Amino acid sequence: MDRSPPPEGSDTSAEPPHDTLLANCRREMGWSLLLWVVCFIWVIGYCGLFGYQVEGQETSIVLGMPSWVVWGICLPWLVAVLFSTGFALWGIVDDPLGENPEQEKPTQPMEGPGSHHG
Amino acid sequence: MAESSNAALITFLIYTFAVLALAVLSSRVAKGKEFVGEYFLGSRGFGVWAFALTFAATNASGGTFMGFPALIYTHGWTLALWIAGYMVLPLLSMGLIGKRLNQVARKTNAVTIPEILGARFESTQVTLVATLLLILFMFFYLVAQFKAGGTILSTLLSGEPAFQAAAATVTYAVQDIPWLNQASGDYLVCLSVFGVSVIVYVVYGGFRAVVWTDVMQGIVMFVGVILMLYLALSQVGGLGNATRQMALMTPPEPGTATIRISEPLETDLILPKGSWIKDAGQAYRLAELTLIPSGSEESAATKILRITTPFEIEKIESSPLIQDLIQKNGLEVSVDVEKLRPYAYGANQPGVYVSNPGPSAGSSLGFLAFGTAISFFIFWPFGATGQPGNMVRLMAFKDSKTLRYSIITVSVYYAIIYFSLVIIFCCGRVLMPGMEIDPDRAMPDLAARLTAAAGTPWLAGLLIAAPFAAVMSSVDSFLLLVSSSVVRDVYQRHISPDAPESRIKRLTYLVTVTVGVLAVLVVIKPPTYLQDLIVFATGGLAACFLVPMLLSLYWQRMTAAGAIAGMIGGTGMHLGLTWWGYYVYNKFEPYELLGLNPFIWDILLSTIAAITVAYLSKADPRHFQKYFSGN
Repeated sequence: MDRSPPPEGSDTSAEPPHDTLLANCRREMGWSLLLWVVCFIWVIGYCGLFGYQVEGQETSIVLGMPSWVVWGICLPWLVAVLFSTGFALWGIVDDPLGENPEQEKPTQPMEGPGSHHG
Repeated sequence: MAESSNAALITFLIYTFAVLALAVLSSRVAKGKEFVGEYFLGSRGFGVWAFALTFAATNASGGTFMGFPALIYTHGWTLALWIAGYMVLPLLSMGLIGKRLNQVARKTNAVTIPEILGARFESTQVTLVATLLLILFMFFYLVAQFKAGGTILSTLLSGEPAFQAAAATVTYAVQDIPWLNQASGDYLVCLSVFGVSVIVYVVYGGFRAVVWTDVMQGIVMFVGVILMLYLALSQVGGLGNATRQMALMTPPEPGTATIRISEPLETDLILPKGSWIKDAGQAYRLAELTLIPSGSEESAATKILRITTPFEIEKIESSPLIQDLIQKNGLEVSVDVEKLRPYAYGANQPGVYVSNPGPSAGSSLGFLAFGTAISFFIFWPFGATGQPGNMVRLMAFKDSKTLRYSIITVSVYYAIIYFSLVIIFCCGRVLMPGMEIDPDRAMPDLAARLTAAAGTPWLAGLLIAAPFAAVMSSVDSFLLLVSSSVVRDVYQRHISPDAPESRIKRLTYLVTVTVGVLAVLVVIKPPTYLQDLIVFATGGLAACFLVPMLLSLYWQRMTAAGAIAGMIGGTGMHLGLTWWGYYVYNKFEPYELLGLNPFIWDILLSTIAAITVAYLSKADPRHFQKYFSGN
């Protein structure tokens, strides 16, 4: 993935080209939604097939839990955490966010911010 | 119980002191900084731990530590599926809009959600509509959380003599004061203490104090849950043992009965709520305080719960008071059952607590019908993304790196907290039968039981501080959201754009105090459908803001008219389904069209309305230039 963090120690005050951040955000949104779709199909599919039991059916136990919880919820949850971690570490770009308006302002008491937009 | 209650009081006092100290510290840090940006957004400078824990703590409200445990206890392992949507919540709620929202907020110098929406289209109408809807839904939520705060504190301190004395004094003092005299003294004391402490630290410290206290509260919640998990697993004999026992359980039967004694007594016999009576091989629990008057052999019809699982019945013994009556007075105590109401789903069905849809007292479809499971997997992550309380935090992180590491932190935090809670209260179901009479007490009662059995009653203070911390961290955030909307989006934008900072400051304090006091006054006599109001407000906020915000940030063709249509469309559908539900069910509950959560229909209509109207209206090319072109 195209991930280019700024040099160590650089601040985020430099104005980024917006289309780059926007493009990165859209790509990251796609991956996030893909994770949701995969988890949705896995969790709802597995639990729908094996977690809704007919009366009297015996529940098998794995790791102290009903097996449908382990394979239909614990495992996808673990995968989701690992994916989120990996994606946050290597998939999300360290885009500069733009100038911090609060840091630009004088530190002495001043007049109200006024009608700066819209 | 007295020891744990004493521990609760000490914990609460230490906790309140720490919260106020953080507010003072925060106020000192804020000195010399521009007021509005600092007070409402902490100068957009929060790092990983502050941002991650404030995000996590704000999402975990009183429901997480009171309502959720009650549901696990009552319905069993099916709650693992109910909450499963949380596995993707951190990545979606932070990753979908985090960086882009933060960037646009900086570009527009926005500090509130209505402000950023209005600024995106340079439209005061958008700001105004967003502000009105935000205040409407948020006030419902605030009211409900204040009530939860007062109730939790009252539960925690109920056994403390100093607290009982204060409650009695207050009851006497307010007996002739209209409105105040409608609440019990203990609740009034707790509501006042809770309300004052929250209002003071929010007013004094602003967003920075809220975030710092959230960090502390997030840590308290985490430590509390881990300790409780260890104690629960060790006392139940391992998770496998708990699940195997749950697999044999069948739901209890609520009903009514007359309690009889073999000979009348000279004094009234008061049997407290929760008393156990073993009679004729059956185990019954009183679901309300029951009185057998002097000279009488029987009570009036009283609410009971009959346990139906054989091995639980064997373990249960009559309460000490009943045993004394039998052994010392030679009386026989019997239960004359008048009526029992078996569960609509799961009655006499072993295995129902370890499978879906889980038992249900009222619904023949069970607790978590398949359509409901689908709905919740959609609602949790996307509903959280649409919450203004989360959005405003996404405007406050320092840089992209903070967001990335926070996603990791919150993912791990939620996985541990929520899954641990499911395990703890499944163990609780085995350790404490009959809590169906008052499931909201599952958390404090289990904490007291686990710590007493472990010989560490002082630990109960820490464990039961967790739900209190959760409520406080939600209330502070919403209080600030409402006051920021009033000051920034109404006064500063529409009434006095050039108001000096000193006036803005005074007004902010005034509005925060006023909103807080108003919420406290309203919950002295809380609305009947309080829990339903929370659901109504949460769903309404997400229905109103999710789609307009997403489209405003990512779709260059979006227009002001489209944003307004999206907000009104989502809100209208939400109100419509709520009205329809009231009409059909005769209670404050939204109608589930095709068995799906109303949120799905709200979002659908909001999307259709926003896109249709955006296409019918003209997009301003300047906005494209400013927010999408890269120039």
